[in-house]
Amino acid sequence: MATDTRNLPAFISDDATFRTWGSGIAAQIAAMGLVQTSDTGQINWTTVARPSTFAYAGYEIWRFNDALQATKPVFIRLDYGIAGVADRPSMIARVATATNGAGTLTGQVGTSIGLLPGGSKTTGSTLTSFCSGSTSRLNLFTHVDLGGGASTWGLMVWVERTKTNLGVNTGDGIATWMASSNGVQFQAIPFAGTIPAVAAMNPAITLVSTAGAISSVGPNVAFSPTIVCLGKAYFASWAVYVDANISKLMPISIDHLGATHTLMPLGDTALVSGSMTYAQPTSAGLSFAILWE
Amino acid sequence: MATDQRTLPGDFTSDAVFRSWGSGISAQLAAIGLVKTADTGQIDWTTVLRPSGNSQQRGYEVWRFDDALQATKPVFIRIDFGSGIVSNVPGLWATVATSTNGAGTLTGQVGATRAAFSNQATTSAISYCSGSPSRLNLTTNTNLFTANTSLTICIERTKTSAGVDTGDGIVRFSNSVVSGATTGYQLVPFSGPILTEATTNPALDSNAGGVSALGTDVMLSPTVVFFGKALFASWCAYRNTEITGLTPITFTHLGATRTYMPFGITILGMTLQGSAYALAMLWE
Repeated sequence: MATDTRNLPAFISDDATFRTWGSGIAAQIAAMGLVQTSDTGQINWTTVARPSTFAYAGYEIWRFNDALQATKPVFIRLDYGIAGVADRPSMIARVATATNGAGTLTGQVGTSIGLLPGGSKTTGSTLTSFCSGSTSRLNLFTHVDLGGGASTWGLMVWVERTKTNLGVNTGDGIATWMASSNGVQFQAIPFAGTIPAVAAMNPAITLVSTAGAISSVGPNVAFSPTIVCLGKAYFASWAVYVDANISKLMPISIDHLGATHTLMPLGDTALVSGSMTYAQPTSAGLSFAILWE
Repeated sequence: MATDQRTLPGDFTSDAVFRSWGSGISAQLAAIGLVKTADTGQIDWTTVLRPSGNSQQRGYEVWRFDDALQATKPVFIRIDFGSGIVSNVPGLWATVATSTNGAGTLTGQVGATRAAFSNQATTSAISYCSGSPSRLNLTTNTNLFTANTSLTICIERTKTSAGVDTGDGIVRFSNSVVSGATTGYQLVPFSGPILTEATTNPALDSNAGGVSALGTDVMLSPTVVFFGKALFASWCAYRNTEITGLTPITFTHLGATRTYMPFGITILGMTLQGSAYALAMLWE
């Protein structure tokens, strides 16, 4: 397991900043232990040019590299591009269980989503890119404004195997959460059978008081786990908490999924409202904590 | 732990019928191991008259848990008996608290009073009760073909993920279909503020981004009680169409293999969102 935090260009002014931005993300994914596949046609960060608006310059395909990969393979395709404004980066994320070797995902293929910020920064500025993961997990939270404003900033690409309540990976499915100002989606992808439709919310039980939850008692603060439903309850590593209960971006150790784990509370960098819900049925005042190890 | 299933009247055509209904429920509470307190003023099933109007309380009983925790974390339950949406159909009111004044007034940490009303008369209906000295799970006035009649009251201690009672709080769930007496969920902690009653049960809609049935597996969503940490109540939610109603099932839940009663269409609306989820009640 690994973490990687770095600053990446926030204002894509030219080919060079586009390359620095995209190759930085690729380097973070590699640092987690994921493996870039040999699919043909993948983006070349030394030659690629910044695309025009609403366009993508190329893609990468990454795969898990754990023991289950041989029988329960997981592939992630990321397309790198530019949003509707020339200086704003954009990605498309999608997950599947196979690839045709030329960039097309096959097998059990999840729903793709475009991820992009809702605003522009200024020339030369950078934003933080958080990444944690392992050979079987990718929790990428990039283009993050540490001051908050998650309704504008922050792109989430979280992909991992379903887990037991003890945190042990299972071969039952893939939990995916993708989010940005452009929309949010959760999708559980089983290795066989019909793939559930995406939901515009994370499957965790809300901690808001109007739903009867008391999120903090004395020194105790509750984290609501993400429950992955595939005929029975599995788990993903990320959890939901009441933002006001914990200081943001200060890693904390909690008992979660059968062990003491370090989580990064994302606070108002991941605090959104409206239809972007992190818990059922409402998430006003809630934020995410991602596994930070 | 015990279960008690009996047929009780659901149409108060006389004082005798009302008495038969209420005393039957009272007998069920005793049968599962709860203890009726010595509070004065409790209903007398030999003399009480049937309701003369809708939503009318005719008297109450006060019950208490009888487990080891009762000495330090006492739980008292006041049940008011009366009429539902019209004078001749059942209505129940449930209130939980941590003490009583001995004359029927609950004190200490006192939860909200939640009504559960039948929406139509039924000549006879089944009353399902399961529990223990630290748990009351009652779904009464159940008609197999409709949700219109059922009244549900579930009260128990918070539990760990292994199903062990804790002294953190009392969880109360109530349900019926009548407007103003629909779902009520409340956690009553043994100390500290008591939140306003919620109108949804804290269980997940398993089909939002996931799938409730896959192959031979059918998911039951646990009721998660947040009190500075995740605790549990014994009742669950499941997709109504995926399990045959009113036939007990056995599955692994809260750390052990347990028997549950799925209530199908008789009790719906058991999750935070979505209406097609039914109640599965611990049936042992």
